[in-house]
Amino acid sequence: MELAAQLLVILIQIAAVMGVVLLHVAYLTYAERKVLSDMQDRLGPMEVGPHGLLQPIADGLKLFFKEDIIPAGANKIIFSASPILVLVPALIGFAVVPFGRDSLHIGDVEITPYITDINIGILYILAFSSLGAYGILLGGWASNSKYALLGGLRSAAQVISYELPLGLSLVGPILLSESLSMMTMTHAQAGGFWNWYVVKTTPIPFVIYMICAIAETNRLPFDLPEAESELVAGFFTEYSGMRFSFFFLAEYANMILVSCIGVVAFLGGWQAPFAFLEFIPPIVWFLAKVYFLLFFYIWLRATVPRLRFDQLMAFGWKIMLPLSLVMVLVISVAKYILTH
Amino acid sequence: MSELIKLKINDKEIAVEKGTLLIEAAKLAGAEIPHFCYHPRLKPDANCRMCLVEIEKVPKLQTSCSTPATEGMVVRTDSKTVEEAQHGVMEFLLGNHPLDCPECDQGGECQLQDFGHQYSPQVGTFEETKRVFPKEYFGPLIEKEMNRCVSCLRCVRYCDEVIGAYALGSMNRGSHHEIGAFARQELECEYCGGCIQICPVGALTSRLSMYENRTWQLKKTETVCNYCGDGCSQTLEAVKDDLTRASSEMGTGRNGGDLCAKGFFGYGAVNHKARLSRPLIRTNEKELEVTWEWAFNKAVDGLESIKEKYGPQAIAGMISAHCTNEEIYLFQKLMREQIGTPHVDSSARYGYINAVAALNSVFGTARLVKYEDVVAADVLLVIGAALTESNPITGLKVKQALSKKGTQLITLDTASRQRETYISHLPNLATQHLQVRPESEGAAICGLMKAVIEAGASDTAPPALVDKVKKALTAISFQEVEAATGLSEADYRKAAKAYAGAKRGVMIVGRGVLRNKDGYQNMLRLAELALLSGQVGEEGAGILAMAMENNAFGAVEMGGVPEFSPGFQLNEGDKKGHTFPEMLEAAARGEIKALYLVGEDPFRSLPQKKVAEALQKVELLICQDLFPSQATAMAHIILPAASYAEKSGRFTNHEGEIQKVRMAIEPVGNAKPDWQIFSIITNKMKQKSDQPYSRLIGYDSPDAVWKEIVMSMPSTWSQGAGGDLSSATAAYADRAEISLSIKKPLDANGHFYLHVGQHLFHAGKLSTYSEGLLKLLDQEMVLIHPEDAETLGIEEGEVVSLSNGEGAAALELPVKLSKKLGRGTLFVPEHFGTAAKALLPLTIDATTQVPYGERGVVKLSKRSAG
Amino acid sequence: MKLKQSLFKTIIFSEILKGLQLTFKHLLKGKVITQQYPHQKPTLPDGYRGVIVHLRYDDGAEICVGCSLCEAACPSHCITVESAEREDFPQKRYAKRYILDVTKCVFCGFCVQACPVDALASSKEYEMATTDKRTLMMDKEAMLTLGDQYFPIRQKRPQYSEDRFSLFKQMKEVGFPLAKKGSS
Repeated sequence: MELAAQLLVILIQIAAVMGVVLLHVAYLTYAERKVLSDMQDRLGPMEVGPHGLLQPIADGLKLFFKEDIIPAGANKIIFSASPILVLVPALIGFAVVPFGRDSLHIGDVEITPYITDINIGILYILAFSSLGAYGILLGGWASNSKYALLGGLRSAAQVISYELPLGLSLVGPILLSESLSMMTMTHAQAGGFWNWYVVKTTPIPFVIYMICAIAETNRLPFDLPEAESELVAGFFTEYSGMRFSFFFLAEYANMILVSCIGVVAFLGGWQAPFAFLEFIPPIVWFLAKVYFLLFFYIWLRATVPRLRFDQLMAFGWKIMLPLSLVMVLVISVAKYILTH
Repeated sequence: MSELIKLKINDKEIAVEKGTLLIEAAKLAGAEIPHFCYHPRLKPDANCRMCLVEIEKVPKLQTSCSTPATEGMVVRTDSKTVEEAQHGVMEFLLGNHPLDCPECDQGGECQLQDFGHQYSPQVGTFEETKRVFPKEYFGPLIEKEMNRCVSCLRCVRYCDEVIGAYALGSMNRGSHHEIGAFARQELECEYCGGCIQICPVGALTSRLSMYENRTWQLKKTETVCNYCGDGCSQTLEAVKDDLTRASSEMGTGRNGGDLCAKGFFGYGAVNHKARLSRPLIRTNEKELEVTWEWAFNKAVDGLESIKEKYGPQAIAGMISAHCTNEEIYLFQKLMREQIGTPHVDSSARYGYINAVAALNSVFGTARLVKYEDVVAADVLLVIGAALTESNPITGLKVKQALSKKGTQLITLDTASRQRETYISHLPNLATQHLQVRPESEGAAICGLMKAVIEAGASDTAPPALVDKVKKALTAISFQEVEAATGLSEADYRKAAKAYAGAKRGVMIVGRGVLRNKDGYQNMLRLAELALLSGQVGEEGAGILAMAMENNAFGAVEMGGVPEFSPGFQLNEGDKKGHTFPEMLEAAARGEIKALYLVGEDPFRSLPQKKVAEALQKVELLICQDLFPSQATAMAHIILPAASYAEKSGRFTNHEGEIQKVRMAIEPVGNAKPDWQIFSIITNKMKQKSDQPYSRLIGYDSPDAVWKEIVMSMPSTWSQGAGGDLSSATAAYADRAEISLSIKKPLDANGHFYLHVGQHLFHAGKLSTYSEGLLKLLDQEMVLIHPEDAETLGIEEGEVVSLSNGEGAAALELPVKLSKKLGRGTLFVPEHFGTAAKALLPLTIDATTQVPYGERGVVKLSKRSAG
Repeated sequence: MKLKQSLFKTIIFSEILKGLQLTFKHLLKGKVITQQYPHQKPTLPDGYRGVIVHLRYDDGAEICVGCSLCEAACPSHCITVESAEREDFPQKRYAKRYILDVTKCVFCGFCVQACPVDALASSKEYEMATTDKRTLMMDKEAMLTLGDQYFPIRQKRPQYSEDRFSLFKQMKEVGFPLAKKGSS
């Protein structure tokens, strides 16, 4: 009985989280278009629904009804499988993200503000996001198209080379919170924004984290693999319809995931910056911080040009990695000194 | 022969022949002199004053079109004074000229536009109102807009000097000068289109192609006209596969740029909507449209099966002499070599074969005279030829000859000397006209021969011939001749003296001899007459026989007749097949089972009943034609052919000149050129039969066919006029058997002698499909002399009834009065129906089997009331 | 000093920050430089070349004389003109058939320049999108209707010396001299 109820609760939680995440993904596209256009002195989507609010729905319907084309000579199984290989790791990471502080109690049942809180949360996320690289590579290769192949190669190279500094920058918060669990990390940043790791570990790891996150999600200025004018659309050139929508969803879901992790690791998760502001529900703080990071993504996209691929790789290996290693060293030395 | 003189134009030294006009000399110096009234074909008039040039030592500017070049002249065409003069003239011309360029048909080929562009002042000072002429209709085909006239008088001069019709004249003076028909009546002219061609502006344009196109849209193709045997160079102008105009480049071709009504306005037959465009097969009384493949297979199967069942001699074919040389050659090759039948004939059978066979027999060649000889002749003897109606360009050459001093024209015809309108009438221009009674041409020729012999035959005539003729003439007396022909002995002697005494005497023989009884014998007599008079074989002398079809000469030359194989090789014995009348007889007897008619409708030329009988008995009738006809209504297979504008090839005119025909438009509908059809049928028959090592003849183009023709001709073929004829004439003199007799004069018993012949505005049946020519004449009528009409109490336009009292249906036609006819004769044009011919008896020539059915006696009665 | 400065600038991403500042400023400004077509239509300059239309005289008669100069001038060969003689005024020319293929037209206005009687004009109409391509093969009626719409003020008929048209009218009543039945 307990088990069944627990199972049901978890399923409902998963469904709810997935639903919310996907809704966010959809409206993130809308938000991106709107914010981008506002920064560019134009109006963005305006026709579909009032101020274009129904645009994501229209886009979704369009992609849904598009013809299912598999290019000749493509490996059908892998071609169909790679969108899934990209989308699932992106969505699955949301299982360990804590959205709020208090659980909801309905009778016997406890509805936690997270789906689960495993004690290797960060590791879990890092592991699964690495799987995304597979999907990109396989998608590019299975398309039987040179653009796709090159795009896939570039993208995969970019993703795996920025994964290292990403992980290393997260070592700072891990060291300071002494745990891999996301919930613990959040709790460890209680008390006000001066306790947040963005302040405590100097902004440098946070900056490194943000840069690597942008690189991971193939966003400007690191979006050469999918730069429309050079590689048509990179590794998803040959995809259309639902498969394309999967890639698309995966990219934005990745963005949200990486922002969530950034918020949890550096910006204090659902903690309020000042004690007197704690009357505002934590989930609102969490969402506000996530939205701020997403806004930053979009803001950056509107501002900077893209990096050339060799510049990108050089930046990742020659600057990010050494810097993050140095920061690990500095933080660990500092922690040791400060606790002893 | 003419000496060269040196002069300087615009500081350039040039040398020209003595007598060259300055305006022509300037072309050699590269200086363009603008002009309006000057034209190389016309005498210089110098009325437009546009061609003014400055000549050193001459105080005033001179018109270069009327000033011949002299030795040591120094001429300037680009000085300031000349420019001012040109500006002045242009200003005067443009002052009254309407701003019609967007509307005017001449836009794009207008001399006023071209010269105005360069030689007019930038600003005009003419402020008065422009003079405007009221709109007039000038006849159905010529559009007159006198507002645009620049008073160059080219049209008037052309009509006077070249055509001799004098149909146009100047009226009023000064600003109000205009061109009109005499006394403001409707234009009565030959509709040769010359005034339209020669008008430098849009004052005279063709109403037929009015506003149909603009000049820059036209695609021009130079080809040869397909109506009569004159062989005029014609430029067909088409807009997107539709013929819209015909013209002739001035100064080019055998015709020198002149055309006649048929050549200028008769192109409409090509794009007529009744054109056959798809192969048809008759099944169950209905005509089924089929593909070419089906039609070819059916034709080939049919021919092969008849060949197998009845033998090759059961197949016969007749081709029209309007087809090109290549086509006639391929046709006779198909018949003679592939099918193996000698029965091949062409429409040269209807008269022209008389001429060719006779001339070939006497002289060994039928090429004796060129148009240059006609123009240079000092005596022209025109026998039985209404040249203006049948061969207008030859008529123009005759008129050109007459414009020289001292040229004499002797005409022999049943027509009277009078002419009634501006349309030229050769007997009217003749120095001596011998008006003979109907059907007495033979007697007249005997009379001429007698006169020549008694005056002393020429030294160049073969003595054997002279003796034979002398002997034969003992049977004839001048009284007999006078009684038969109605002319006196003195007339004959006068004519004979003139003809025999000529230095260059040219004889022109028309259909009055060739398509009349005893045509072949008469032709032989005429050839002998020419020999006796010494007017053959000398330079500039000879005989020219008029052909009614454009390629009648070529038809005979290419072997399209049973008596000749290609190159005038005589066929004898078994090799000589049936002629067309014989073919019909054989078909009626059941000997001919398959008949292949190309461009021929025998119902038009031969008695209806006979033809119907014959064609009904035939098991396979293949008709290849442009338009549906009575023959195609009986045909089992109908193949659509391409007209002359849709194929290339060669026509040979009656001078013997071979000229190229070029394709102007794509074949209409699904039609194919005849040469292609014959080539394909031959190929398919070769494929079917087991001919060992047979090579499929594939012709890429008519040029390939012509190459084969040229290679297969005998070596004597290239001999034209000017070759040595003495051996041939001597051989003829040796073998000829001459006996002369005068037939009883025709007694019409108070009835009329009807002649069915060619009208000025039409040629055969093809021209009746041309919209333009139908506007000039679209129905039959009967011509009668006004005095005869008065005697009978008949008025113009009244309907009368013609009958022959032998059961043929009476023909009712409106009457038109014409002074050109002889008394007691009637004329009905042959182009519209066959009812008139049905009234006349048919005789077949004994030697050449030419059917003579154009003349006879009919009864004329007023149509009974009710 | 300079090196130190530039190094410092690079480290703190000073240029990127400047860029971010700029874009943020634009976000706050909220100015819109795009034109919301189809809600806002562009203002067309005076010489704008839209669809070609036919004009009329002030008495309602069409000006076109069917001279085909527009057909000759057109670089896209999209005009087809068939002219004929007017039945009411003999020897006057008009366009019996005038087809302009708008799908080929590049709106260059050469035909307008070429027309010797100013019968053509460029309207301001550019919204020609349709679901039936046949409406884009404009015949004379369609072009005249468009012309009436866009050019309500019509040009006056030029006065000819001696008022030639009244001359024609007179002759029509009296009958043209020498005109015989069927001679046209």
